[in-house]
Amino acid sequence: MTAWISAEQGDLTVRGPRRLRVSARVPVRYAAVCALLVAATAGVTVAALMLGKVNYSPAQVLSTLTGDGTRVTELFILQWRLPRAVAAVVLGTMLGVAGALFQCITRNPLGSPDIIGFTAGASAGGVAVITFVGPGIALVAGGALAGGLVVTLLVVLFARDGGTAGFRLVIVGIGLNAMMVALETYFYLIADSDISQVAAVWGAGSLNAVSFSHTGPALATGAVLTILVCAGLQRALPVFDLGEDTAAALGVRPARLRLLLVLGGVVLVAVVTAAAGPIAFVALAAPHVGRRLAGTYGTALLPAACAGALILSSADLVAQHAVPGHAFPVGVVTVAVGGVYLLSLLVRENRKGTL
Amino acid sequence: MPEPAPGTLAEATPAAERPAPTADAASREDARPAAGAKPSFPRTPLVLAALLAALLLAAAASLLVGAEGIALGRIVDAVLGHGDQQADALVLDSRLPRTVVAIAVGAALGVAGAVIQAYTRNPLADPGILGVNGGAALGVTLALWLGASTSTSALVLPALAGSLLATVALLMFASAGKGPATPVRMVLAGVALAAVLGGLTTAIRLFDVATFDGYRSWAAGSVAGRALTDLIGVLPYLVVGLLLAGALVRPLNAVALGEDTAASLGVDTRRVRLGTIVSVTLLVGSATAIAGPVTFLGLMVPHVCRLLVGNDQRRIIPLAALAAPVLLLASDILARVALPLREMPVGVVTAFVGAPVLIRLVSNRKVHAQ
Repeated sequence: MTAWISAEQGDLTVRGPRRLRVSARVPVRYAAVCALLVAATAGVTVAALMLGKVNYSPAQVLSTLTGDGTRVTELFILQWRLPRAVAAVVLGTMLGVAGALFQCITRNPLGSPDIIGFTAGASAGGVAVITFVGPGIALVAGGALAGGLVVTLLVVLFARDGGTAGFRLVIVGIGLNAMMVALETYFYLIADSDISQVAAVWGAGSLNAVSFSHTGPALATGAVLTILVCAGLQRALPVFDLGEDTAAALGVRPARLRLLLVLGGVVLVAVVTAAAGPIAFVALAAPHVGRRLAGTYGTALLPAACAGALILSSADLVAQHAVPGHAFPVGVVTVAVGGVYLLSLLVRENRKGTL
Repeated sequence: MPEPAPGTLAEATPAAERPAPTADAASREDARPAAGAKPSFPRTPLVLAALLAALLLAAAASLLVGAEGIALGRIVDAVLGHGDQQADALVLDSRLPRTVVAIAVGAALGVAGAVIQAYTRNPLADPGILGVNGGAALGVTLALWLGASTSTSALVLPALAGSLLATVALLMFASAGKGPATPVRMVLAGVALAAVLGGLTTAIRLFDVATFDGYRSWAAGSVAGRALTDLIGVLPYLVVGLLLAGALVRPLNAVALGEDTAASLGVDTRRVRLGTIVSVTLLVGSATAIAGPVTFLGLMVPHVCRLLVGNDQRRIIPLAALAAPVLLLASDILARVALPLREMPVGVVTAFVGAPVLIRLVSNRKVHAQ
């Protein structure tokens, strides 16, 4: 009952009810950044609900959300726009968390699922399933998971002498990436043209086809998984960041933790890929953005999650409304924007000479 | 119908005549060091002969192999100018142009790869990996969107502009930091650049249905479905690019010692830089304008050549012009027979063959030496 917050020496201390014995201590900047990111995401989401063929005012959106809308606004806002907006937030969160996990495992700021080939593998797996079996969401999810796992395993296997921290990992990932893209093209070509069309829309990474009945289960699973991952790993990650030997000395079992991290990251990306196709670069950029804004060193799941949600929902807003009358797949926007971000990151690191 | 000896077939293949000047230049280049103190790679003439033979074989196979089975004799008759109608249509209108285009595109990409690897001193450099192809593809897409026709001559200038943009951006990145950019860093920059350019290309393609169709017929065609007139449209650019690359071989050898050392040896490094940009732009832009984006060819070929004749650009660059067409022809033949009913873009095959080479290369410690 007596949950309270106090501020001391630039840190916020949050205490839960005494019986639960929960408490956390977070830097003010960390908390403020997360709050700001959440607020911005909420703003973008409201904008996404407002804009479309028929535009509504924020007041109309809010009243509809609280159940006081007309039948027309309920149709437009709740039935058509809400699933997509919610999907953008949930999937973005998942990608942000997954990216942070991958970067933590590989101890490499570029070790995101896009760069090390997981996304491409999941994409090729999904397209293979659509081509040879059918477009059922569970099957595609399975194919994406299998494809992603196989490619990740191959990348780790080929790069093992260089260690996962080395850039060998990244280059091997790029190579396998190219092979997967080639394989995907091959699948597109051998499929009938209508099936190929379905696969191509999925392969571009789009939220166009999202609906609660279709993607609802995937979204719910994803949300639960994300919460579980964050809650379960939040405390162990900073210890893991110190290095496996130190972590072992501090009472964390590194092998088990590494397995959990890999599992968590892989499952999260696979669920996203199954629901919306391969959406590139969010998992790469979100942890960086979150870390830089929050001013933390090492892995920070919460800022990464918030940044991921903001990035994907903004990207989807741009994809839908940048050119009136044309809804692009969101993957197109994230690739272009994420590529620019990666370039700027490289240029900065290049100047410092630290990469 | 009489079966001719294989020798006659090879001699009668006009496609095989194209690379001959390059080959001559290579052997002349080779004669000079041999007269000097110590010929470090005496087997160069052997390699040259073997590559020429391989090129002739690959060109012959490219005329022979395809979805439609056709007797050897009829193909030879068609090439010699007295074939029947079906053989004429198949060989002269389809397979012969395709073979010639593959040779030209292969030579361009192989030499471009060798030049860019030599200039950046980066064994992982490739016009495709570094995003130069992506620039050309963006240029073509923009041109199609603005209403250009799908003929190669209309697309070559936009492709050149796009690849120029990408090459300059890349070299700017490479020289932005303290000291030379490491190979890995450059590859990453190239991947990021390619991602941005690819995203823009996809966006434009999805935005406009007419552009999408035009792009598909351009990009998916690869070297198939191209006429010799398509090649003529880009030939001037290709030739200038190849000649420029030929002029660069000596300065590039000096650049291998580092820019400062090269400058103190009397090499004008700014001119080498400009020459590299122009040459790579011309070669990649025109190759991409005909054949669409083909990756990894420029990565693999210079390595094969280095393995065969040692680390001297005077030998590597001419040999790359011979070896790359062989590889592209082989990939193209594979692309024809891999699917039962239709053909694959040759870029799919080169990516599938080339990616393992990249992975193999990165296992080499030297890449990380910097």
